[in-house]
Amino acid sequence: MLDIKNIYKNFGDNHVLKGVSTTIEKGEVLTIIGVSGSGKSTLLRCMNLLEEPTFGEVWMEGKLMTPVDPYLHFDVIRASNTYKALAAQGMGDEEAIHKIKVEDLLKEKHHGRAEGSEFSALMKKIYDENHIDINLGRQKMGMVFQNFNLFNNKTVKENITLAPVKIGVQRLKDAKKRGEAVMKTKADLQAEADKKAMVLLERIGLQEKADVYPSTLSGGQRQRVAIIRALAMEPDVMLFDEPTSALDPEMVGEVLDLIKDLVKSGMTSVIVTHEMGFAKEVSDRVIFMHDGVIAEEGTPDEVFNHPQNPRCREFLSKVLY
Amino acid sequence: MKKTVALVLALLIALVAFSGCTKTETNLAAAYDKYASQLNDKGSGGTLTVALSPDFAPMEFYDVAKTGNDAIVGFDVLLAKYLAQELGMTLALKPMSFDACQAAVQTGAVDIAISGFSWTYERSQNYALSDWYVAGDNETQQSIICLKENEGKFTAADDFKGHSIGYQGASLQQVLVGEVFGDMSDVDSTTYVYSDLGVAVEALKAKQVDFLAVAHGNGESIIASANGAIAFTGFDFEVDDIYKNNVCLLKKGNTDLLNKVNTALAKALANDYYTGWYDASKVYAGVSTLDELGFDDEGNKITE
Amino acid sequence: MEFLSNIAMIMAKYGHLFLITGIGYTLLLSAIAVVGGSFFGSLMALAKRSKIGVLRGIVTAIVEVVRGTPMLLQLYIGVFVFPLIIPPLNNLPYIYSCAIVLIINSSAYVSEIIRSGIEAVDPGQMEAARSLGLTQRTAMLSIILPQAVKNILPALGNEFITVIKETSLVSTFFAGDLMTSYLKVKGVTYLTLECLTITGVLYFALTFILSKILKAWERSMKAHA
Repeated sequence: MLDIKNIYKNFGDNHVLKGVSTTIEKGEVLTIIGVSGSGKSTLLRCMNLLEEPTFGEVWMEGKLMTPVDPYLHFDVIRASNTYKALAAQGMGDEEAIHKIKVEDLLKEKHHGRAEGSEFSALMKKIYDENHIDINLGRQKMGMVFQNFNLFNNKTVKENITLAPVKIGVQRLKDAKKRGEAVMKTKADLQAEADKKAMVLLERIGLQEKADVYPSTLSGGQRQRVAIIRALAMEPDVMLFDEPTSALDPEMVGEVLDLIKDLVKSGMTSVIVTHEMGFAKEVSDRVIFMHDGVIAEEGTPDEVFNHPQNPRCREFLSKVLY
Repeated sequence: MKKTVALVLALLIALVAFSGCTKTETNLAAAYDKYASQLNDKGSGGTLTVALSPDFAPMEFYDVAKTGNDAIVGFDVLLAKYLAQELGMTLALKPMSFDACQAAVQTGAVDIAISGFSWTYERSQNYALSDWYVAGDNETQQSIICLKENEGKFTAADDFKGHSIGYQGASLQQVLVGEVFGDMSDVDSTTYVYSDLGVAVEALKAKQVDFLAVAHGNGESIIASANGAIAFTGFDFEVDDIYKNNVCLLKKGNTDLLNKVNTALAKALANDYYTGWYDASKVYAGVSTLDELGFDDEGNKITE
Repeated sequence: MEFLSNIAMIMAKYGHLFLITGIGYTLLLSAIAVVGGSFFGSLMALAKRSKIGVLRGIVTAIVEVVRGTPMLLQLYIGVFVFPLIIPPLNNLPYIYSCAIVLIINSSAYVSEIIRSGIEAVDPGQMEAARSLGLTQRTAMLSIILPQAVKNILPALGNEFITVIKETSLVSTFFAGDLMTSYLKVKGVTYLTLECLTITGVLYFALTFILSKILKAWERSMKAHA
């Protein structure tokens, strides 16, 4: 469902991600572990494009979220002037493609003309056929942040209903523009969203807090509200960026319990965490990141109990005292 | 804190209630107003813009009882009205600081500056200076003032050796002090330059400087306000004719206007308008401190 | 003491000029400057975030020049150069040109106040909003700007108090503010110290009272959040 293809991310001279690829299937729970700076959060943030990958592509449910990366499409490389020049010199197909990829020889990575009109036409074609608006893509992905990021100027209930209502209203407007019959009003949408929000709040036992501002809540309460805020958009995949790292120890449990519930009900999830016990318990697959690449990958049992990569072993020995 | 705010507010309100409206002593403004009303400065031949700095009684200053540009009064204002009349133009006064006046003329923002300017060599190089006009004894007589206790004791140039003398920067007085006392710099004398005549007066009162060189007319105003604390030393500078009078500033190259102005000035000089204007202005300026400080209606000091 | 009796005399005779005219014009000019400055400052802040490079460049240049040159210089330009571009100013008192300069000056500072007010909002707020699929525009209007306003308003209040003091420079052109009152009275009475004292006390009273009001207002806003 969520396809990460050869992601590189550079912040200036700092190369944080150096070629990460993975596919997350529907219903899968993937946990990402590793030391600080290994790129785990960056990888997660690349998935919903909070960070734009320097190279690589992100595909969500068969739709392209990032720009087209020519290095991932051989036919596009073959259409480039650089390839044609190399081929004219007598270089073989595989060799030329390899050389171009490894040495980053393409002068144009977007729709420009530097690599010829055939190249740019093909790039545009792939883009037009597959691209999805970033906002639409993000509406199908929910993100939970380490620092909760609840909207400080909105009540708990407003936090939850803001996006569904705003986006719903925009959809109605677009439908009207297209000339379709519009059955609902903004008030209807608001009422529906409010009802859903209360159901979600009851699920986590915070229905009394519906009309208070986030500043009055504890960390654990805020994070749980943040989680159901993301759920209110009915996403297909949830991304958790160290959801408990900023919590006092006594509140970690309630948040992890909520995530466990979520996961058990079949929500596709990608979780970056330091909570190893939790990771062992809920994950279908674990990835250990080191120095910008996937250093170890497997089932929880494989990674935690029989790690092959020495870095991974070192990390786990420090963490699982 | 609330109490302090309330106190300050109450004080302000009390001040407002206490301060009445200012009334001009009409009998002392009468002479001036009469001259002003005789001058027709609303001609149809365009606007004559005049820059001046109304903080220099009696040449130009404010009568706060009047409103708008009518509140700007003084000798130079009468002269400006006269020029507008002679040129058949409408007068537009543009009040601004002394330095700004000169800038205004240079940039052409105004036609002419009439603000008690003396002739100096530098000015003659950078501006078109009109012929001189007589500003009463304000310029012809240049004096030194001191604290009352020193009155009459210093009458010759050498008497001032070993003391400090102050003057307003870039003024005629600066030139005069330099000429007469210039060779005193190796003796124990010091000179002080002030940007503001008012500041210089305060320095004199505070004994930070022993003497001030001022134009005689300004000296009179200063002494009038000082309630007996300041007096003339009795020493007057010898003033070259070339410094004795005031000039108007015009933009260099503005020969057409310059000639018209000079023609009008010549006429005023021939008919001796200047004396009457200056006396009326002096009386008008003296008014603001006259009655409070014990002057009678004639302008004589009532001795206790 | 003669000093105090002089002050009493000045207040009795010219008090009106200081308290009504002077303070009145000072407050009026300051209000015009800050209100006009807020309006144009908002536009400038918006322009600075625009995608059109030329627009961004022009606005940045204006802000840098206005913040990097003395107000007095700007007033000179306003009084002597603006009438060449805007002819009606030739027939109006200098206070109009001064007001225009004050508005431009305030706009530059306000645009920076707005920019930093927006930047002071936790970036996580925008990240969360975008992650939900909200557009940049909706996120700005619903989440970021309302929170930025809480940062901006106190800074605007401070700007007003600063402007009150800066308006004193219009006295160079006898525009009618409190400092002009000082010049007028001093020019006629030659009682510099007394006039300065009165003027100083009044400026202090103005800024003191306004600071207190501003603090009380800030406190009430914080309590609300």
